[in-house]
Amino acid sequence: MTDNQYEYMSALMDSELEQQPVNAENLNALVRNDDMRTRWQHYHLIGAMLRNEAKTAMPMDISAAVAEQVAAEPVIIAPKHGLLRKAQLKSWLKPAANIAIAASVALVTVLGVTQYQRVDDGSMVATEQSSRGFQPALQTVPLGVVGNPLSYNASQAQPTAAQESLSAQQQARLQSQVQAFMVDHQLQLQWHTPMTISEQVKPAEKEIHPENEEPLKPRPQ
Amino acid sequence: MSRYIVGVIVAFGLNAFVPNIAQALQGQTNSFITEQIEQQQALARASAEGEQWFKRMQEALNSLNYRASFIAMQPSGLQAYRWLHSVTPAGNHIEVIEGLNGPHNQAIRINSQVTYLSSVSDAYSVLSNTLSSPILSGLYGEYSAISHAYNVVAVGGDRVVDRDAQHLRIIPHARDRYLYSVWVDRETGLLLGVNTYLPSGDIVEQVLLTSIHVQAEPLTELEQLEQQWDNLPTNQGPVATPATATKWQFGWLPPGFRLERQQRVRVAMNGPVAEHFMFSDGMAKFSVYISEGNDQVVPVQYENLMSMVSVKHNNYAVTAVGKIPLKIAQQVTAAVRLTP
Repeated sequence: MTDNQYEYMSALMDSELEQQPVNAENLNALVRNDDMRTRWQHYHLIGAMLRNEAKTAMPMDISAAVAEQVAAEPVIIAPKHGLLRKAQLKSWLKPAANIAIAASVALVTVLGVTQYQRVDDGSMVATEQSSRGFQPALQTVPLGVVGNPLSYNASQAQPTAAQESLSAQQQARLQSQVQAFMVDHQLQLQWHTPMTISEQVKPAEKEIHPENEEPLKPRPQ
Repeated sequence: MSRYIVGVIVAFGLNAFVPNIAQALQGQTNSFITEQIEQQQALARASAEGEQWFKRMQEALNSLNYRASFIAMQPSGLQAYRWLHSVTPAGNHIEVIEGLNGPHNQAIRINSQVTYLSSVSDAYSVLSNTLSSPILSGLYGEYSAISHAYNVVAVGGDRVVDRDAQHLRIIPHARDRYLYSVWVDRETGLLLGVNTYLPSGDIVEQVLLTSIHVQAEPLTELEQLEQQWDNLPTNQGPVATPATATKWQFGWLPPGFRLERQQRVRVAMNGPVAEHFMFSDGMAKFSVYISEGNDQVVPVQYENLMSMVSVKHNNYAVTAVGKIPLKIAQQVTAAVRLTP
């Protein structure tokens, strides 16, 4: 990049352009060049620092993080069970997309009732931070919530007294298990088509009621 | 002339009092029996009336052209929805329920194809007669689908959303599960509100219509939707993974619950591979997952509007989850056995 261009940018920032016109060509050169973009940000940052406007806790550059996140975003999320194309199924199974899946599933099933209370004991915060600010919309009640009528407690294997001493890792594991089964149940509810039932299953009553399925009516012309 | 009218009224009034007087004159034992009989008769009348209202509601929900909005109060908070339904001249039943908060998401049902559209994920379709929403699918269905497990009782009039409403209570035969209250618009037969109660009587979920509009002709937006039917994502068809395991025995199931389907699934969010069973009593539904030979599932219990219990038996784990009281989930999971 030429000094000329830096000068141009500087002048543009300060609204002091006299010699060079603001035209598409010049602006294009500015926007399309990584070096110029970085410099543009630095100039602004310097200016903000000088004017005492910058807050140190503020994320300095969101655009890169956003671009990165968009690139990492899973393509889709929805029930498996052969309802999707194979490529989508692949992304569904991709372990890295786990957290994003949790969030998207919640959105898919928001018409249902998969929404959980959130109790802020700090345990979720760590998860959110470690997932690049992607906040799961679906959260379960963590362990050891005292006095909550909607109790959540580990059964047999985990005696009640030991609840509060569960590590964050164990808590996270329990939460994701509860989430997974609840999300799956929601997805199963969307799908009402009765299927063949094995004869050998022995529930109290074996009677099956197909839900008076009516064939698709002719499509309008 | 006026004296004659008064006479008629008096006679009428006396008539109404006669049974009461007669009852008061009877001995105590007799009056107790009479009361019992009268109560039973009253209950039978209320049940018959309840059945009529339920059928009328089911008919109205499936045949009228309506545009409504409702709010749903759940443990997580309030959500608002728009709800449209029409039967088009071509004879197609089109229903849309759309969440009004947060990212756009929509469920569209055209006859028995339901498409879920969302601004944050790809659309997909499934075969189903009802779309999944806070409005319980049991309310759309036939009366006979719930009557084996519930009594529908007409309990009187009420005013809901400034409409003259009929209050119905849907009371389970077995008092181990949720109860429901339903309000039906006396003029149109449409649903005005649904409450879900714990067996103890505490309310856990509430759906209330906030506006309702019924018209003779189909809604234009739904007719437009019908035109775009071909653009909706096509159904990939439920590829039935045949149920592989026939070795599971449910030692206990809450009375009235029936197996709706069984299949092999991989549980969402990279969960374990499991045998899945869906049980329903017409109103409530719950899933049971059984996974073998892995330690992915740890014992846990969760109680809320939706409860969940995971237990470990010898070398398999059983999980029950659904909008049921925790106790049912506990008993079901504890009684699952491997057939010898």
